[in-house]
Amino acid sequence: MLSRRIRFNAAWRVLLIVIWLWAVEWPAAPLVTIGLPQPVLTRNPKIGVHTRLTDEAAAWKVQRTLQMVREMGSPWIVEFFPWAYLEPGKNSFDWDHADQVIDHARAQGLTVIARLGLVPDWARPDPNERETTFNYLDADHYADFGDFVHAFVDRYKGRVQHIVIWNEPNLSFEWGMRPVDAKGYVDLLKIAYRRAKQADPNVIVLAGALAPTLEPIGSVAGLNDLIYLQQMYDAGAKDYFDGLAAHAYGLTAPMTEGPDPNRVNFRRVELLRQIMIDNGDAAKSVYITEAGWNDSPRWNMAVKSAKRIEYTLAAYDWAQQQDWIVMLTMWAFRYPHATRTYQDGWTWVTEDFQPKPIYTEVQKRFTPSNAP
Amino acid sequence: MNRNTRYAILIVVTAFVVLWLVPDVVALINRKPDKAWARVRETGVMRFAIDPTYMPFDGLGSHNDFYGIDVDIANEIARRIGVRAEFIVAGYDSLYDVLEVGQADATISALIVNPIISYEWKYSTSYFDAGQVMIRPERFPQTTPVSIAVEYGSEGDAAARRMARRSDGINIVYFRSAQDALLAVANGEADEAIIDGVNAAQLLPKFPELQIADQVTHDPYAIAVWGDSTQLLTAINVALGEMQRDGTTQRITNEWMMK
Repeated sequence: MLSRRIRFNAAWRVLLIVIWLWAVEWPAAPLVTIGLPQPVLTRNPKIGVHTRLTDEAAAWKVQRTLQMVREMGSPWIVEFFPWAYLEPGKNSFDWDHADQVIDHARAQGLTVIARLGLVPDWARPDPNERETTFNYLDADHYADFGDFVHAFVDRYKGRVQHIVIWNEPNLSFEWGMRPVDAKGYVDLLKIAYRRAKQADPNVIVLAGALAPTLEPIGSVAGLNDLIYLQQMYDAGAKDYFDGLAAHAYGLTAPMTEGPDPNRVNFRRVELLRQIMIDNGDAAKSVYITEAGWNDSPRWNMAVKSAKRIEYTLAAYDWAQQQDWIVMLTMWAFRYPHATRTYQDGWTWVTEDFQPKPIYTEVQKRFTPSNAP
Repeated sequence: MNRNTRYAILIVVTAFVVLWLVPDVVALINRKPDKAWARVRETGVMRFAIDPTYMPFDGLGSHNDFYGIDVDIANEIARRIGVRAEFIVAGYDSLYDVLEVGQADATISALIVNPIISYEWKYSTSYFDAGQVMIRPERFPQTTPVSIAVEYGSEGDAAARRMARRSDGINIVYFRSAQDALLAVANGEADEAIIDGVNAAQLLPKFPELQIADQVTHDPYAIAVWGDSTQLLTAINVALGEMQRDGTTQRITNEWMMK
């Protein structure tokens, strides 16, 4: 009798422990669901914003960011998909975060332009032999980047139709703190282009994402984007990209200020376009994947907030009228955390999702009055 | 209460005290020497990094003469510590990095406290709040609806729009500048204005009938040091505390704001 009672008590306790473990360890249902597909209601189909979701861990914040982009009337986003995060070991991929961003973006009706770059440790020199930055990639590893591009395009075939190869390669910082090298970039572009097309012949490969700068030949900081683009053509880039990605920052100049080779302003992008025409590449389009004005009182390259709104609205209007521009992206929709510096003067929405006046004014201008 | 119960209570209390003190003891053991403070004491010079592009806080004359609120506050802190202040020009992007590599002992440059990086860099107590403030006439008749004057597109505008989203009866009136917004309140064209703390400090002396009624947001300015500079930070805070109490900080701020 006694032994039976002991066995019963033991069994009962084991059962309780199992129930407790089940309750504690059983994976919780996702708090955020993708939801039904939504359309972007807009009067200007060329509006885009650059999101900063790479460091955004919370799924609800990813979703809320992209909802707000849609509600503003922007059908495009540009987002960074770092190679170093997605392929932390050779042929070892972690797509979870990228899947989340792309699934939510598509559910919000947004077209994603994926910027690819940032070199993983395993594709860089041994730091004991040579310290390098995250943007350093030597020619021996161009094929590894090509493999990553192939894997990315293959995974998101039919979901991500545009990729940008690298970012601002005409700046030394973005080229691994080395002297910039247009021929080296074109060698990388050729490999990336071929591999992308092998994965999806319909993917649109964007080259450049050139930074607007006046740096002369020989500068340690970078190279004038106009010179660099010509050097790209000279190195045989023409057959290895489908469109040019360009950056068009206005700094203190108004949107209406015309292009001038000796000025960095918003419409400098027209000079890039002219170089494309001069090289027989007029059929290709330009995608402005970063642009904008900063309104921080702490930066001497910023403008007043009212001017930022005025120039931004005018820039979106202008882009809509240019048949050679596919879309215009403004930097940067929201940072995961406020920087408490002039960098916050680029954002459209605060870290706690409060819309800044620029957001509200763009929304008012470009969404139909009956849009949600 | 028997002896065993007393022992049990004693053990529990002792364990609690020990656990309570563990973080402090670990911090004490791991504490690194304050090289900046040692250097300041040895040389008699405190090196402040500054980005002299933001008046009335940080300016630089043609003869390498630094001036502004931050410069006067830094000089006063150094004087109270018993050393001399020197200023090192740094770009805004490198104001923190110069502390990490030891090129400066402290940074004073209208820095807004950023909690995200406070695990590496430490901040002093704040000496100015540049956040948005609500301005009203001294005799404010509470009316409904309330009209709020703001500079179009500014953070004051953002704050007013936020308030309007959350409460009925708020009408926002837009102006080209903070001064125009205050003028509207002074003339009775608007009930209130929301402007930032720097503009408020500069403009309110011109509108004696207006006053700060509320602090809407906070953007505290503070001095930064590298995380290991705990003794230097204590010395700065002691000096700043004295300056706040005896009115020196307010006097320096007022002098520059009215220029």
